[in-house]
Amino acid sequence: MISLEKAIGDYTDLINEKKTVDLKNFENNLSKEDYKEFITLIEIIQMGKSLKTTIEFDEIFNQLNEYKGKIYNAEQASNFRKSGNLKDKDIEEKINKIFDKELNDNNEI
Amino acid sequence: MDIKFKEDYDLVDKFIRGDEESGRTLYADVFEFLKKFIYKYTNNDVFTDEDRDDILQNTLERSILILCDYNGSSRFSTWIIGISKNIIKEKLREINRISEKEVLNEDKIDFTDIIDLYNQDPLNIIIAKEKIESYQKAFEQLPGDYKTIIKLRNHNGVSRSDVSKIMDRSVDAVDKLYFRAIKKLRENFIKIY
Repeated sequence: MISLEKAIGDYTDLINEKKTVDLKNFENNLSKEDYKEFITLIEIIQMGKSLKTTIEFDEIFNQLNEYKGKIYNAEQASNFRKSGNLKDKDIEEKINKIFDKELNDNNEI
Repeated sequence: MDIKFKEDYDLVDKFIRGDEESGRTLYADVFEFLKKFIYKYTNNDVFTDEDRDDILQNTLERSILILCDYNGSSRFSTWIIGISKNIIKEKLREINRISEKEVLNEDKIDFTDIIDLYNQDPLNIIIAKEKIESYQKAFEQLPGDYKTIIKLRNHNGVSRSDVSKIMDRSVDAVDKLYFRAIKKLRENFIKIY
């Protein structure tokens, strides 16, 4: 049996060293009551670890959102589906060019 | 047009129309997955960490640029992976150190690898805004020594033996202090969240 304090310390060292955590080991070495508390406490440890990822994501997302704002102004954003996507536009332009050419040829005749 | 992944399609739609939260949800879901994919694909001597950061940044920016092309026929994560593959190839041409075939070795990445990337690591998830704000408030309410030990052990990943040297305490004392700090942090968090 190990103390809950030691279990929490061991768990933190394992995740800090990016090692695999086998909860069964902790369950076998803690009393039933302590294991129950251990599970609730590791949730907050995991949250603390995710903090870094979340902060990193938020910074990147804020930049992306700003970038998106520059690309899609309000008018474009409200009509973007109606006007079709870029590939459709390309195809439309190509078709128009073919028609224009055909029309010019006809005119020459 | 058949919209197979309506949820992703709707999030893209709302994001383009100005709903920031939809964008956050959309990108939060793929962020870690994308990072893992880029790492797996470029885990060799050719790419530096800086290159990987560039690839991530360029992939995300390119996805914004062609966001209106997303038509919901595939998952948003699959779509963004496709962009990422192209960015990696572009980066490789830029680096131009060894031949593309030698480095990318696409055959090595099989379907099970990709599936594996979908499994979220509980230590690296993007936490919801309200939850993270509650965590930060709960942390701020802690006494100074509790804050120090959580910062060292949990946020910065310092080992208990190094913390015992930094704080000039025995390893047992470090464990006890850290345990009390985590317990108090949880109590504070529950009250706030």
